[in-house]
Amino acid sequence: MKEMILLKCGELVLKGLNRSRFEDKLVSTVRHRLSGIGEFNVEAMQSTVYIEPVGDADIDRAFSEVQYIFGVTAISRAAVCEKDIEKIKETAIEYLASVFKNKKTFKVEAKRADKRFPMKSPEICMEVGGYLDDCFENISVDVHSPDVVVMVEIRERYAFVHAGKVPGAGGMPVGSNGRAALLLSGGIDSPVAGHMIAKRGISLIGIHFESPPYTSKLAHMKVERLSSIMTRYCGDMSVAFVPFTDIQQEIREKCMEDYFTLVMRRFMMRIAEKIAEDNGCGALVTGESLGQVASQTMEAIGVTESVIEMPVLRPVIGMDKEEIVAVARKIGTFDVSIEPYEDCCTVFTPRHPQTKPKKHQLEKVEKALDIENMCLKALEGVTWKKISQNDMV
Amino acid sequence: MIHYLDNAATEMVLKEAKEKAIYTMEQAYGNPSSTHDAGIAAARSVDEARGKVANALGADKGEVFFTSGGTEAINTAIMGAAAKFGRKKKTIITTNVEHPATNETLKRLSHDGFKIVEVKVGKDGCVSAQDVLSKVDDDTFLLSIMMINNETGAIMPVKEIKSGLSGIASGALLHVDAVQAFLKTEEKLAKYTGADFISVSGHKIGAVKGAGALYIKKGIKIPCLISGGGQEGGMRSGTEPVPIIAAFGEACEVRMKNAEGDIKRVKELSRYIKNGMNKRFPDMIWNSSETAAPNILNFSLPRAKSEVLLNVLSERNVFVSSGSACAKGKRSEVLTKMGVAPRVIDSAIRVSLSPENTRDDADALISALFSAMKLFENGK
Repeated sequence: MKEMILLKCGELVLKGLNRSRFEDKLVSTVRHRLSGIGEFNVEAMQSTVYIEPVGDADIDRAFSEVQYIFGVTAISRAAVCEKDIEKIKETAIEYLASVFKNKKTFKVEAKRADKRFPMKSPEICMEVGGYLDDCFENISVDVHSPDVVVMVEIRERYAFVHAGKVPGAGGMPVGSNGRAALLLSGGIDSPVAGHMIAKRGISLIGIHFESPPYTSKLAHMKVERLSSIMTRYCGDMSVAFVPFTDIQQEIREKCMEDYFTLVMRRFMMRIAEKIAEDNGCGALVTGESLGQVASQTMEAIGVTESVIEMPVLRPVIGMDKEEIVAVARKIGTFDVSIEPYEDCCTVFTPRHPQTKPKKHQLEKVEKALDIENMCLKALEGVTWKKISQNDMV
Repeated sequence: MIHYLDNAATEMVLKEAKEKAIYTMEQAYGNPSSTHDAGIAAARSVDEARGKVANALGADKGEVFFTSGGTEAINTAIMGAAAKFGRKKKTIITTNVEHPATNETLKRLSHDGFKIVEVKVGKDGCVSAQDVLSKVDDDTFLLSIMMINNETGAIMPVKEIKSGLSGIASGALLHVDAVQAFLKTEEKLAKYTGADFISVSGHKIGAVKGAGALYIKKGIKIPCLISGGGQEGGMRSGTEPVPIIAAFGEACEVRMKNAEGDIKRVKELSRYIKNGMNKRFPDMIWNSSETAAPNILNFSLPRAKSEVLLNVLSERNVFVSSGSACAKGKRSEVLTKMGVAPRVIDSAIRVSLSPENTRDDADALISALFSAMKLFENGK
């Protein structure tokens, strides 16, 4: 028996005239995602994406893989058969035996996209429903609140039968709403922030600041692994590694210790904004959560973002650590995030960091620095790593 | 040039061991259980290696059982003893600074109703034999004590414990985790300690990773951990990794032959490093005690962070560690148990020597540390 996968598109069907653009994005995402598994025909019709394996392509792996694709609300597998009512009935019996087990009631719904098919939808329902009702003793028809809804669809080339679905990843297809730059530290919060923004249809690039020799190769590799895990949902991602040691050392030499972290974060913002602009991003994304550390008070966030114009998205700003951890576990980044390597933020931590800084104080402290040149030098040293989701499959 | 000073994690493979492994792959490729000539050649290689390991331990061939390494030897001894004696007795005595191979195995047993008594180490990282012996009672069937601590080099009084045990009519047996001690001291451990079980590992003495051995004193029978075809006298089933075992035997032979000179050189080099460090870094703290094994030097440089020092040293091809290689970045349990302050632990470095190390390595270490410490000079 031949099978297909059907993806139900959720929110994106509401998007009026933009619908075809969203669907195209979703189809290309699905094609790309499945390219590492085997050959599949992928097409969208009427808010459903149809995935048909070609030859012996592995439909089980494809089925588990599409559960990671944003823009899909529900996923079902369907049996494919000839457009002949007898064939449809046979297929339904065979395919539904396991679905009907332990269930009490069902109903049949039919969709006749191919109007040349001799029976109308209600007739198909009655015919197939009656037949199933006769064949299975344990289950009976209930059109009002059935345990199982059996779908029979008559399409251009074939008919198919399906029942039962699993939830999709939700959200919107990655890339359908533009691109943003995620500041990726290697901790727990930033991958979660990136994930949440990607779910809203935004493709990501990553930016990581590193300070060798204070930070190690292992910390660098950790960020690569985190990004690689993120690609499962967020799609391919390029990560910019920014050399940050010189800037940190200069700040340490020339600025008051209490302001160290804030001055450093202002540099990160300036550099990240430049990288984001150069790469077509409309916003920065950070994993800041209000009050979590000294540099994430309202005042600190205020003086940090005041050095740039680009919007900063902070999807986890109101979340508790436990809530963030729960998402991190779900998306598989948690175990890597907690590996204990130094990152550039933990290397020089002031003993008494400023929690209520004022903009003019920071500006005064930064007077000792040649900000433009320091940023330029760091930008010249950026190295890019392309992280492909198909490395994960 | 590479300065490899992390020999307690693993040693570079000795040339002789590597050559022996390759030779064995080519010449003794058979399955030692097969009865044809290829099988017989392989069985001979294993037998020959067993003789060499036994000789290094001061044991009989029949008392040496090959395992996949130190961890498996330790698991076999502890789980085997528990299975054998656990119906009547429930207490195992150990120290609070054992390697996870011991710790975690004992933790499993404690979930199964065994009573684990941990004897605390002092500031020098050692337990006293008296402390240990005072805990032994009629319910005790096993003591599992490491001979040399992998992080600090602290030497435990296993010989005294064993002789003390013979004066107590508990019948408790002694397992010694000698992974860090085997062939690092001149004594032949089975003879010297008198222990009932001794666990050793090949790759800590310049053999290939993948082979270790458990010494079980003649007359003691415990059930095996891995059952199957009955290899290793039924103690460890599974086709023997003949080339790796042969390399293990070879490494034992080489180290035995050179023991006297090797040990003397390591001692001298250790003293040289200590001197140099004391001179260059007046405020440094030694976490290893004066009486610790000379091949393991654990120290802290105040204000520094271990991980950063390791990064800088690694860039200069000086390879050391911040503690046990098995702990990957967690704060050292061993130093914590010794009462070392967290701030000091965070800057701890372990240098561990092998006979292959030279003064060049020592000089490279000290100068790399010196330049690394500039990173921690106070800012504004």
